[in-house]
Amino acid sequence: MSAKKPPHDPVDEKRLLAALRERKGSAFLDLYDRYQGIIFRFLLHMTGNDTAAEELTQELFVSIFKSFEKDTVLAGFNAERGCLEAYLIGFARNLARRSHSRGQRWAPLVELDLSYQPTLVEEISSRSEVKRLRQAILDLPPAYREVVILCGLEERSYQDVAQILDRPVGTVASRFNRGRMFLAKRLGKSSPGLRPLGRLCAES
Amino acid sequence: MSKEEKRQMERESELSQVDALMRKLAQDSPRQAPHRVRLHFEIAIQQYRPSEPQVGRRWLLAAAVVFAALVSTFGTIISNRSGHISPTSKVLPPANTQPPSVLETHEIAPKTPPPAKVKRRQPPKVANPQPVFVRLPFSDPTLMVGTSVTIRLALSDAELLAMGIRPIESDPSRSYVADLVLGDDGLPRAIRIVSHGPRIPGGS
Repeated sequence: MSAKKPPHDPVDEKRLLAALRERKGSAFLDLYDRYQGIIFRFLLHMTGNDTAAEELTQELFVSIFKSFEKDTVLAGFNAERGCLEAYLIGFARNLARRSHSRGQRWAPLVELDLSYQPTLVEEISSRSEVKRLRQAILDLPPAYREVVILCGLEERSYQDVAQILDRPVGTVASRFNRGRMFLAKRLGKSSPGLRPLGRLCAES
Repeated sequence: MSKEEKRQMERESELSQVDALMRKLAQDSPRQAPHRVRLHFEIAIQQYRPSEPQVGRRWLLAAAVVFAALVSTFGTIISNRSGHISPTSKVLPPANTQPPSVLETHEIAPKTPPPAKVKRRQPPKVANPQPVFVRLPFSDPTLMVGTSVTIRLALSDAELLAMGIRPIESDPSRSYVADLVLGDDGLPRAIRIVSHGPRIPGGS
């Protein structure tokens, strides 16, 4: 799987941060426009539920907005440790984990009562293979799932993901490959070198 | 081709299929959060009014409190130095000191009837229905007035003159009943004429 480097402009990021700390409303919307996509997609694949992903995305930016009002916007962000995108994905990851640990279980789309018009995700999920892949990703332990999402779906480099997750690059690469093998097995294709799921869960 | 090589090729083929499916899932997934989330933030930003930083506001509040305290303190000092005293607030318990000319020393209340001794000799003529204390002209203006004791004395014209108070009509046979406010040093600071009448034998 090729991993491409995401566009990251430190100067532009600094400018955005400075504008945020000057509490310019347009800067907050700029921040939202830049990062809401990756945040939402990450949360969507982590939760498997577009409603939950939307709520968590909103929660993340509401939290930033509150700190924006209090003049402590992104106080925890340290540019020396990584880019802003990595910080926000880490934020989203924590939100997803916290939400999951609170006992909120996200119902898979197949179990939802779709009295409204199906969303694009649901239409995609109706396709058998993609649907199975989607379910297989959700069955991965969170530690593997987040790596598969970032490296496989978002095509981030191992280095970036290692920075986001605060794990060694080797761990990220290992988890990604094992996650892929697990997915291959779940999709009905044999993978002799794959360890059983119980082992993966124990490691996560 | 050995069995192991064949298995390896199969595995790579499976993984490449998983990768292809992941790309497909990534492409078909929604790229952005629903627009309604952004609308919420747009409204929030429109309603947001940047104000002074919290730290600045705290300093401003602290400065205002200090300023108010200073104004209050200096106002009290200036008021006391100008000789303005409240008749009720400056009334104090009788002093232990009993100067020879004192008719009686007692606590002065706003509605305290005139001393029986004075009444018995001569019904006093009220000089002023609501007499007020006035600062003695020769007292040290830098000292606080009314700091300890109020005493009642019978004073002659000459004694009033010695204190800097000139009677309207000079009459050596006339006596004045007056309240004197003594300072901490025992010297009079302010005077209030309670009544006047014929000279009291044995008075000062």
